[in-house]
Amino acid sequence: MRPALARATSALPKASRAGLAIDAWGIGTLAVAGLMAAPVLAVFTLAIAPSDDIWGHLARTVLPHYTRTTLALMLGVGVGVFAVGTGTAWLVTMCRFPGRAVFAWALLLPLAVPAYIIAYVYTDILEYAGPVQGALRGLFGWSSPKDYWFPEIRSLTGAIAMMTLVLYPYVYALARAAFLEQSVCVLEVSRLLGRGPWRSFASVALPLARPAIVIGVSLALMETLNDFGTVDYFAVYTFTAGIYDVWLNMNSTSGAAQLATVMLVLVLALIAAERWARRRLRFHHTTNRYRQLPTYRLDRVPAALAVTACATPIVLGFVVPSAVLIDYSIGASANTPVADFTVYALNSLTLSSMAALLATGIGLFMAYGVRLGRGRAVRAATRLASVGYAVPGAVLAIGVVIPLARLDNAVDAFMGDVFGVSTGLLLSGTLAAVTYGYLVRFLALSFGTVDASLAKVTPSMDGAARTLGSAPLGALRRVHLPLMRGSILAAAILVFVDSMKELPMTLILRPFNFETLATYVYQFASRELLEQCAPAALAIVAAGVLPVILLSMAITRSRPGQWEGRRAPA
Amino acid sequence: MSELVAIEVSHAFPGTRVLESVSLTVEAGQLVCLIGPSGCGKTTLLRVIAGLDRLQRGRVLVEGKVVADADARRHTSPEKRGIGLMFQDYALFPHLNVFENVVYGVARSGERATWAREALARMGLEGYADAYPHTLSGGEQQRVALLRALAPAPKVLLLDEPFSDLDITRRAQIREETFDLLKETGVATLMVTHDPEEAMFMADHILVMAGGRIVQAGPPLKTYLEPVDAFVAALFGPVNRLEGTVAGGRVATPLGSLAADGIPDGTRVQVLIRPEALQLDPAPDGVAGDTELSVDWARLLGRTSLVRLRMRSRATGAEVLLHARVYGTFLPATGTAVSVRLDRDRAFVFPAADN
Repeated sequence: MRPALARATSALPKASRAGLAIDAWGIGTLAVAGLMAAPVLAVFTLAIAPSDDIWGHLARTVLPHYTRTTLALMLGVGVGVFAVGTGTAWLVTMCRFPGRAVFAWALLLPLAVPAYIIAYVYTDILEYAGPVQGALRGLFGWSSPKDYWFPEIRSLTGAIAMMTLVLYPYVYALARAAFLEQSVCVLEVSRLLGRGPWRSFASVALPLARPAIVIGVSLALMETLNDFGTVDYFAVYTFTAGIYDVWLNMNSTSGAAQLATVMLVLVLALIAAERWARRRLRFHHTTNRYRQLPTYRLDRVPAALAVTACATPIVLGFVVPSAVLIDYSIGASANTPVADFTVYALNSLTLSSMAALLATGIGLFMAYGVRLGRGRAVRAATRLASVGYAVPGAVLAIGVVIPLARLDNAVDAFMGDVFGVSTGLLLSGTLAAVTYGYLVRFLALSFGTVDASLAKVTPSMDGAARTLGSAPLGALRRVHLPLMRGSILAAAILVFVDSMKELPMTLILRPFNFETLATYVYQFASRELLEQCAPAALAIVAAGVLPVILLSMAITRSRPGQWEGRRAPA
Repeated sequence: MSELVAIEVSHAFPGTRVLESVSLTVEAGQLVCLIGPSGCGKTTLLRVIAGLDRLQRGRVLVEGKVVADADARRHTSPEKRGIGLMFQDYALFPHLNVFENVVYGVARSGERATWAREALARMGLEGYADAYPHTLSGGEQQRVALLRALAPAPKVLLLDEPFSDLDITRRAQIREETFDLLKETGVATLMVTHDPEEAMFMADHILVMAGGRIVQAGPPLKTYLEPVDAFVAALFGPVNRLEGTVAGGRVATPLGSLAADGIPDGTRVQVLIRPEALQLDPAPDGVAGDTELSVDWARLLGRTSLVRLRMRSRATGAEVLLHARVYGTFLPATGTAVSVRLDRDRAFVFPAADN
């Protein structure tokens, strides 16, 4: 078929524009997009609101420092995750050495540990009073800090190390998937043209994987900007820490909004890098023939080095923190009242489940709306609805809390004037506000997952269902939903776990005295009482393992030709 | 009664006109084939008729009732049109087994479900009722898809390239089975194909489409023997091309003269000759007169032999290559001089493209 027509005929089925149900799709998607984009817009609005030369003050005082620190942190983490992620992906994909099959999935495990939790753990064991320095003192007979040098964990370098340890899996996962997806033919052509295996890898496989690696680094850096717990605890003054400082300590919302705006510029740069890489990714498949990738057997010294290289990030990023938390949890059961823990866990469960349910439902609604051919406006609206994934929680928190407070005040004043009743704060500091914040940040996650899975259902399936008598909703229920069950569950799990780990927004948006596992860990661990909150931290890590399992299954399945035996879409 | 009528349907995608004022009629029990090169708008026409794409211009009637009318902004959604559509990729639901697929559009028990069971049995698929589509062969999937489209007893059935995904060795048999089933159900069928043999076999009526228009409509025999232009002639099989000028209502070629009905004298024309229209005889002196004909090579292709001829003008020395298809084994040695008799039913004269 000619390209133009092939495109035309494979266009998604268009449904009738008549009828309320269809309009509901268009209007609903636009409304969701508006709600999801509102916090970011609110930040911009607040930032340009007149204030008492806060900006000039910020620029003279803290801004240069925030900028330097943030950029240094991003540079450090960027280099760190690139080196660790690409290096390990390369080893487990291209070489054969003992334990390779286990490393292939275990390298994803550190993703389960939030940066703030690993920071608490390492501070706990590496600080002066901790077991490591204690053991060193005992061993060498030192008696005071003057006797020896030990790296300060609570520093910029420490923050870089912590974040690299838990964020490198983003690069690892994407780079590995890219290596697996590559056609072996291009590697073989390179070999036949006279390049050795290692040079072929460097000159063919690595450049082909470059877009995927760029995406991985961008995602890791977005997480870096989002982090609050680590930089707060380490007193590393990045923009996120700065926003809280200016907002809560200097009590300047517009100042915080202005900092947030500067931060959004960095975010935009990351989004641009990611989009650029995603576009490139599409052109990087030259053939469709796949075979088992060639692997190079390593023995003795190289094998030992490879094992060390792969084991180190897993041990440091997952095994040690988990072991410490388990150890403390066993000892802590006496310290923490079980009732408290149960309440916090239930709170986390409730909030995260609500967010997961809503995000999955809305994501499905939007994805199917786009598929029904609601036109360019709806497509654009879904993009707008997805901006939140890149925006740091601290920025979104400002964007949610301030407009809500103003709305509440307006309603209160109106009700007071008209009916003489004070409604107080209706939405601020409610579970609805927290859930809204989670939705803004994580909707892209569920939408993306559902949309990708919907794209695998060929358009002719829709056509077949429709001509056999199913209306759009009937087709969704009888054809799409059963085919997408796994992905819908995956989408819900992803949102659930990320909501559970979320700290910066939860801290600000939660109802007064309402503790989740994450805020509870933050409260206690930042006061160096890690033992007490270890069970809560452990619960978060355990939940975090779920998406890791999903991810590792997805990567294995990503290799073309190893997919299910279903007919390939024509 | 005309079960399906499309009146002046036009359709465009951004930047491309796909259908230009297409009209057609399919009677009950009739099988109409829409043939044309890839990308001529055939599939779009099916989608518009089925209601999967919204009609932009024109009208569509099923059983005499308007289901789509662009001017009146009427659009009956596909599920309410009573039109069956079988997709080129079959679009079997992978999560449903064969029986569940077939009865998707009807009640799971009842008259049509019974019909479905019987039809499955008759197509030799009774053992597969519980099997999932991906475990079936291409031919079995095709039959399931056909039965699924027929199960709701549609008045109109649309088939999009129903045999193109099949193994060449199974195609003829499945084509015949499909033909029998369609004739038995009496459904008005509009089938899209790019394979002329398939169209000739299946169709009561052939519509030839090019560039979004119907360029010729008629029964298979007439379409094959009386193509309206060089495009249609070439679509239905390979041709040898010669050039000439009309004089006295005829055009003279080295192979003989042909009637050029309705073309004014002095017009430059192209003469299209099917390979099977060249009937070869060994002849020591080739064609009489100005032209020498000799065998360049000959190959046995199975049922027929393909012979390439070298036709040389004694006067100018100009050479032309011709292909002839001869039934059975006919393999003269290279250089053998031959004489040609022309079957004028399979040779066509059209004004040259540059006129």
